[in-house]
Amino acid sequence: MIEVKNVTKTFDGFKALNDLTLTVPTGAIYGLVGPNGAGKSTIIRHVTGILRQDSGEILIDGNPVYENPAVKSNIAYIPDDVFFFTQATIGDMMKFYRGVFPNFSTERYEKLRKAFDLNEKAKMRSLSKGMQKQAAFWLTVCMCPKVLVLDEPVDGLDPVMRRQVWSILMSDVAENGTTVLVSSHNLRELEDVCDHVGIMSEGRLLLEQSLSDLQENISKVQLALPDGGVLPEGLSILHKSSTGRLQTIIVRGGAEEVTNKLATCSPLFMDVIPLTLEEIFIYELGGEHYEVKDIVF
Amino acid sequence: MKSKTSFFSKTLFFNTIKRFWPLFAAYLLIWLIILPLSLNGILSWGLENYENDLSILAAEKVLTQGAVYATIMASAFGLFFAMAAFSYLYSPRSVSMICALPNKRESIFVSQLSTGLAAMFVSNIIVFLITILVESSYGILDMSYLWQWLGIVSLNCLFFYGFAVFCASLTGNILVLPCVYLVLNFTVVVVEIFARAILSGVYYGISSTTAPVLGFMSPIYELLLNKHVTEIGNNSVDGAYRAIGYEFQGWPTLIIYGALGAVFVVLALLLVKHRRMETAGDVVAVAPLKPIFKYCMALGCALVLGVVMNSTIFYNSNNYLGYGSIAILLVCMLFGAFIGYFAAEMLMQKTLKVFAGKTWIGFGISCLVIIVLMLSCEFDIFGFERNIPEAEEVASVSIHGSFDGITLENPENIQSVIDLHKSVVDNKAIYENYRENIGTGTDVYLHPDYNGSSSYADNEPLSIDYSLKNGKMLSRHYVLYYDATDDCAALNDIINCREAVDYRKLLDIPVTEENFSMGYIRYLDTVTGEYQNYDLSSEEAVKLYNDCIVPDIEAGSMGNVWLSTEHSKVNGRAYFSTVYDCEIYIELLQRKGEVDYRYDSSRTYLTVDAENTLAWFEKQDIKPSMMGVGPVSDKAGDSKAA
Repeated sequence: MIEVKNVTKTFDGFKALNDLTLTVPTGAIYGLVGPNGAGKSTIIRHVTGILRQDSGEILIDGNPVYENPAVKSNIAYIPDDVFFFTQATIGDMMKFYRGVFPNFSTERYEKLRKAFDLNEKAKMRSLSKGMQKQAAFWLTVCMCPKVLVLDEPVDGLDPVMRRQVWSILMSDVAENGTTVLVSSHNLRELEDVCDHVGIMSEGRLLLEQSLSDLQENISKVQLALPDGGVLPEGLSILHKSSTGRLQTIIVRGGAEEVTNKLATCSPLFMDVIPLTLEEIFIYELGGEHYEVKDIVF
Repeated sequence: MKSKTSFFSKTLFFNTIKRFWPLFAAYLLIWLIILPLSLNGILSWGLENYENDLSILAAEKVLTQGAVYATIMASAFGLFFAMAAFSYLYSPRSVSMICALPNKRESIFVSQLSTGLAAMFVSNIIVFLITILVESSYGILDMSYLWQWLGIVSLNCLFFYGFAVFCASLTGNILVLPCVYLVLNFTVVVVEIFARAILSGVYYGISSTTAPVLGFMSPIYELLLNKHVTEIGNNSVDGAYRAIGYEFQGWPTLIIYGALGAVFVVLALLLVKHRRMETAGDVVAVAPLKPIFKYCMALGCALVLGVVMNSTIFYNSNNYLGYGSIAILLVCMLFGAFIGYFAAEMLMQKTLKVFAGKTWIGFGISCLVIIVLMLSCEFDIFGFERNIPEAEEVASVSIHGSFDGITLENPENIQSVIDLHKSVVDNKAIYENYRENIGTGTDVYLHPDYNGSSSYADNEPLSIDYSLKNGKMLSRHYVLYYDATDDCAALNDIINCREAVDYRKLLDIPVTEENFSMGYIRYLDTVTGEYQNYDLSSEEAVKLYNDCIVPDIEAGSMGNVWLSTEHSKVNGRAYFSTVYDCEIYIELLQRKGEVDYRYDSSRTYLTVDAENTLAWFEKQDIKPSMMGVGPVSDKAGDSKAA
């Protein structure tokens, strides 16, 4: 389990993390989403022990991460912009990681060779960004980590390879109970793989729930009211739009609770539509002054 | 889950070695060329052409050149190795990769540090072993020199690599690292030179030309420019001088530097351990150093640009300046501070837009500090100009000028120097006014006979160095003008006191036939009107010196100095009516065994009052002309050497 407790981090007077608290349960795939500059990469670099927080605690299975090799030997990290030694080949990097990570599995490396059709003898710098990302996945999975931290992991990968990578990850989680913390702007993909979601804004966590709870707690309803009909009071409406008589509202609350309330205004038509993670993200952040602005050119 | 503390990662170490092996190999290769290969070449040449002992040739190569190259190589490659080993600190990507590894920062630091150390020390040992083979193949193996070389090069490596690693821990930018390294290597000596240049302009009594006394705090300057290897030579039976060995005398300095290198490594470890890794890419990686960097840049540029602009654009001399010139110097310094302060801001903030808001407050503080410092110096708030010791505080005093320097220990003579010093300080306004008038072109003093020779200069430089009984030194430097005050006359009296003449003229080695090396008399002959040389035999030299010259010096009739041929008088007599154009030169060499020897020489001019020496000359029928009769070119400088 990853526990981030009241972590604050300041860069030259700018609070990148502001009393942030989040919890990633063991074996969960936790999607960390948020607008640019929300502090996602910063908290990831704290969780991997790269940066030291100004205050607060970061624990993995109850142990602090920073300067704790025993804990860090079970964490694998793929950054947004992968770094390899200038002259190194995939084979060189494999030998390097094998020497550093005690759980590195050469057997797994051999097994995955087919999945990642990469030239091991080619210099890493000569590979495309997508191929470098593939190589990073290949090597990272071989570290057999208990915690996998990914920052924009599939950025640069083609659709087939994205699916391949997620599939490897999912099977790793299923087989070994790996805990995954993943940050991405691709909410469609996160929705497919994550079971927990945290939304960050301005260094704070706006909400943190399992994806199913999150989707159950916000409802998207399409309805048509009779002439002169108004929506009942007491609804926590996050967003409202209308096309002719047909209104679409995003309301905080479970489907049953919301439809019961709406039924009091006798709608001519009412339907509850499943809400995507992207919609939750947009409407939650709308309340945090990060709404989609209507710009007219 | 507690981590097992490990201070070394084999994987990191070998990975870095593997990545940077060409750099490490370059160090080894260059040393192989400098030492064993070059030694082999010179020895094979020496077999055919060198008459002296070949082992001396090898020793000269190993120790003299070895010591110099050790500093050059260690200072250059120490920096390169530190840049390579700690390159991970300078990019956010590499920092993320390395710091996410399951290693403590100490472990990463030690592993990376070890790569440079191992590369240097293993290379040094390889060079050492191959040099042994080369010397052995010529049958001249002398391990003492080789061990010394290994010690010198190892201590140099330890210091410069340690220092470069320390610099690497201060910055987050790999391009800034060499700049920091170079600046810190020379900063003390450069600051001293420029600070002295400025202080000599505002303080009465400071010389801008004195050699830096803080040079030892600038490692490359100290180790490279201050030669620590001395040649041991010998005049053999045939009279020819030959080197018989070499001695490295810089061990105390080098051992201190080596220890400092270790201290720098520990400091670097502490800095890296507590480093905020988000500073990768920043000019200054240690937060508390940011304001220090900014203000040091402001003051450093104020010093350097202040002096440079003042002397080039405004063509102000850096010797003592009047109020108007000081105002110009101050403006130049403030401009330098502006450049330094805002350049530092631009580097730290990584933007050119630094001229808004609070940055001006810091610049204002810098300006205020500079103005206050300059005014306090100009008005002598710290009492520097009037700080003259009492006679009982002084162990000895040395005075130097255009004459041979002397050291006085007699309390009466020390008091005379102090009185002169006080008079010079009291006459500050007169000298300042006099100098300003010369500077503006009014009332310029030039002697009617002035011909460009230094004998006709209108001033006399004077340096006074007090050695105080508490072990401290107090040094002052002035320029005295003959026509402005009587200080030059007082100085002339001091440098002709008995103690001064004895110090200058009497030989330390007994003048015996055994110790005599050579001697001659060069004089302008009254009969022929040409210069003649009379070579002295050992017997003649001993008799002339002991029976004639010494009694005449003791009588005060020989060995005196006229500061100026026109302005000075000694015993009430002018130079041209006292001194003959006749130089007596005696050189002594006292041997103490095969290696040790002492050397001394005396150059004295015959005067009209030197009764005993004149009598000897009459016996030899040598008739020299008076000074001033011969060609003008031969007169120059004689007055200072008589």
